[in-house]
Amino acid sequence: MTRALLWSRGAVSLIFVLALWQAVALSGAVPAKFFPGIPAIIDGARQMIATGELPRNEILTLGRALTGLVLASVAGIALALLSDASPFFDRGFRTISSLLQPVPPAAVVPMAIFALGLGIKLYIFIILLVSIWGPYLNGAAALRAVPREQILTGRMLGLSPAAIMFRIKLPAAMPQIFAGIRYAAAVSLIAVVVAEMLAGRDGIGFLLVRKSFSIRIPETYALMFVTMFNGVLLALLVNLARRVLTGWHVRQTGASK
Amino acid sequence: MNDTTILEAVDLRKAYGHGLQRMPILDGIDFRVRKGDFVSVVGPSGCGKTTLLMALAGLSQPDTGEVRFRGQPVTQPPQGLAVVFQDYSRSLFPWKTARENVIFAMRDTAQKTRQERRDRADELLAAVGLKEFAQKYPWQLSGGMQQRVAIARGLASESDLLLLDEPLAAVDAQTRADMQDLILELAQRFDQTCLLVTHDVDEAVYMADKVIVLSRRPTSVATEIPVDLGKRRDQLATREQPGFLHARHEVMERIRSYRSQMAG
Amino acid sequence: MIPLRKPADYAPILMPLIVVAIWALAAASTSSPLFPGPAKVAQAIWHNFSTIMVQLGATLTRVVIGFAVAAAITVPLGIMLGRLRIIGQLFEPVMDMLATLPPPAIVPLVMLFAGTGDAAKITMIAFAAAIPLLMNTYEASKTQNEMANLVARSLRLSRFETMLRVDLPAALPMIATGVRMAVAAALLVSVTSEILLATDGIGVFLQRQQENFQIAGGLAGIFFISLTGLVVNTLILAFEKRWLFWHYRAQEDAK
Repeated sequence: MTRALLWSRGAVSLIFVLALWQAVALSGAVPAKFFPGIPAIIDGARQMIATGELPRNEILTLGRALTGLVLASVAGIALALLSDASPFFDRGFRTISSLLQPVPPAAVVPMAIFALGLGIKLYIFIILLVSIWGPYLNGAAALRAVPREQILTGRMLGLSPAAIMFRIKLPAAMPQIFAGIRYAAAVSLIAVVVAEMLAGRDGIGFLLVRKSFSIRIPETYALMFVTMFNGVLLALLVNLARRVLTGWHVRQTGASK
Repeated sequence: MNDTTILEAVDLRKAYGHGLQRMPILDGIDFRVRKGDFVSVVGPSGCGKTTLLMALAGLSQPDTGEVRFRGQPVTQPPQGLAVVFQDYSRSLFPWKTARENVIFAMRDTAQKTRQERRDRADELLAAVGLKEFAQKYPWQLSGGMQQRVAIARGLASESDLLLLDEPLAAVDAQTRADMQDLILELAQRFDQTCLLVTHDVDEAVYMADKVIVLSRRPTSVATEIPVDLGKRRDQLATREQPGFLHARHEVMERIRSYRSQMAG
Repeated sequence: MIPLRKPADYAPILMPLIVVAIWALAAASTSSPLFPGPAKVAQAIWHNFSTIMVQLGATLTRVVIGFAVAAAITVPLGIMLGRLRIIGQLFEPVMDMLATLPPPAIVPLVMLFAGTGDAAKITMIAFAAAIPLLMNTYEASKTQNEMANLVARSLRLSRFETMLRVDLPAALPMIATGVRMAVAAALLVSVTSEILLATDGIGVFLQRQQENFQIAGGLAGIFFISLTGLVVNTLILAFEKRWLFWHYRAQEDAK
C-alpha cells in the first residue's frame, strides 16, 4: 500500500469515528450531559487553549514522555549489550527483571514522589521502570540471533570484539530494537499520564483528573482525545527515527513486499 | 458402464471478475471418473487446476454446469469425498498429534468408539509408514511425513473418491518417487478411487489409468489419454515401457503446444 | 558425576543478592529514615503482612471480577467481529483509537458515569481489560487460516463446529497474549483508581504509607504487588506451556 493511501485510510477512519460519536450523541441513547457531541468537545478544547492550560500541560507531558523514552531506549540498549557480553549479567538480570517488570507504575508513584519530588526526575524514573523492557528484551534476543556468518566476517576482517559488537551486532539488531522502542513509546505515555494523575500538579494526566472531578465533561473528553493524539504522535516520531537510523531495513523489507 | 461412474463433470464453467475485468477460468469441462480408477488431471501452469478441484470437491460453485458425485449434484462437500491438499503445513492442525489429525476425519465412518478410532488411525498411520510417529505433532515431522499424515487422514474418511491436489509438489525428488509408489500401493490396498491433480507430466502418466489433459486458460479438456500399463508400476521398469513413453509423449506434446502459443 | 557448573549458573541467585547488598550498604551509610535498607523493609513486610493481604485481597477481587466480565463479553464479540468481515472493518478504527488510549485515562472517564464505588472501579477495570482482549481476539479470528477452514469444510463440519474446533484453537495463542496485556492493564487501573478514589485496596495502603512517611511499608506493599504480577504471569505462562505448546514449538521449528 502506498503512503498516500495509508494516510487517506487513516483520515477516513478518523472521520468515521467522529461521525459515529456524533450519531450516538445526537441519538440521545446516552444523556447529552454525559456524552457531549463533537462540537461541544471542540468547544471545551478551545476554552482550554484560550486559557493556555492545554498547550502548557501538553508541552510538559510530551516533553516528559520523549525524554523518558529516549533515556529508556538508551538504557535498554546498554543493558542488552551488557547481557550479550556477559552471560553472568544476562542470567542474573533476568531474575531482577522478572520481579520489576510486573510492577504497575501507579503503585510506585507515591513512594517515588517521596524520594524524587514532583519534577522531571519522578517522570524519568517511572518511565524507565516500565519502558526499558521493550528495547532491552528485544535487543538481547536480537543480539543473540545475529547470523554467525556476519560475526565471522568481522573476525576475518580483523575487527576487535568491541568493534564487532558496535559495528556488526548492534546494527543487525537495530530493527528488532525499534520494534521494542515502539512498544516502549506506548508504555511511556501510559506511565506519564498515570504519574501525572497521581502526582497531582501538572501535565495532561493531572488536567484530566481535575476536569473530571469538577465535572467539566466536554473538557474531560477533549483531553481523552488529546492523550490518544499523543499516542499517535509518539508512534510517528519513533517511526521517523527508525527510518533515519535503520533505513536499510525499511527499504529491504519494503522491496521484498 | 454408466453405473460405475462415480464422479462426473458436466460442462463446468467459471469466471472471475465482472465486466471488462471478467476472466473466464473454466470454459466447459467434461469428464468422468469410474469407480476403481486412478485418474490424473494435468495441464499447463496457471490453467485453473485449483479452481477445478475446488468445484469438484464442492468447496466452490461453478457458474454453470454441474459436478455429479454418485449421480447426485454437488453443491457442498459431499459425504464420501475426501481431499488431500497441497499445502500440508497448513492443512494439518498444529495443535493435534498425527493420530488426532487422522481421527479428526472419522466423522461419518464405521468406527464409533474412541478405541476403534484410535486403532483405525494407528492402522492407517502404519500403512503410510508412520507407525512410530502417531504421538508426534505435525511440526515435529518432515515435509514428506506431514504429507503422509494428510494422506492417512484422506483415507480415514473411508471415502469413495480421494481428490489429491498436487500432494507432492512441495517435497524433494527422492521423497516424491517414494510417495508416488506409496499412494499407488494404498489406492490398491484400500480399493480407493483417486483423482490426482498435478503439473508434472511424468507423474501424471506414471500414476494413472487415464490422464485428462487440460488446455490453457480458459480451460477445457484438451484430450483424454488412456494409460495401459496395468495396476503394478515400477519406478524403473514402467518408465522404460513403450506404453509409458508413448503416453508421456502425447501429453507432453499437447502441453507444449499450449506453451508455444502462450509465448507467441 | 556432577556436571561442571559455570559461574553464570549461579547468577540468578547471586546477582539479586549483590544488588540487595549494595542497597544495604548504601542505606547504612546514609542512615536516613527516608532511605530504608532491606532489613527495615523486611521488618515492614512482617508488621504489615495481614493488612497488606486484606488490602491486596480487596484489589484482586475487583481485578478478577472486572477481568471476568471483560473476557465474557469481548472474546465472543471479538470472534464475531473477526468473522463478519464488513462489521469488523467498520469498527476497526474505533478499536484502533481505543488501543491508543492509556488505560489509566479510563478512570476519570468512567467516574463521570459511574461514580467512585466498587461497581465503578470494576467497570474501569473491565474497560481497561476489554481493549487488549478485544483487539487480540479480533485480529486472531480475522487472520484465520484459509486452509484450515477449507479442510474443515471438506470434512463437512458445521459452522459452529468449525468455530469451536478449528477457529478457537487457532486463535488461542493470540488471545493468550491479549490476556497477559489485559491483566497488566487491569492491575494498573485498579491501583490507580484506588489511589485516586480512596476507599480500600492496596493502592490505598500505599497512599497511607506515603502520607505517614512509612517508606519501608510502601516498599513492602510494592513488593507484594510485584509478587502478585509475577505469580499471575507465571500461571498464564504455565497454562500456555501446557495447552498452547504446539504453537510456540511449531514457530521455533519453522525458524
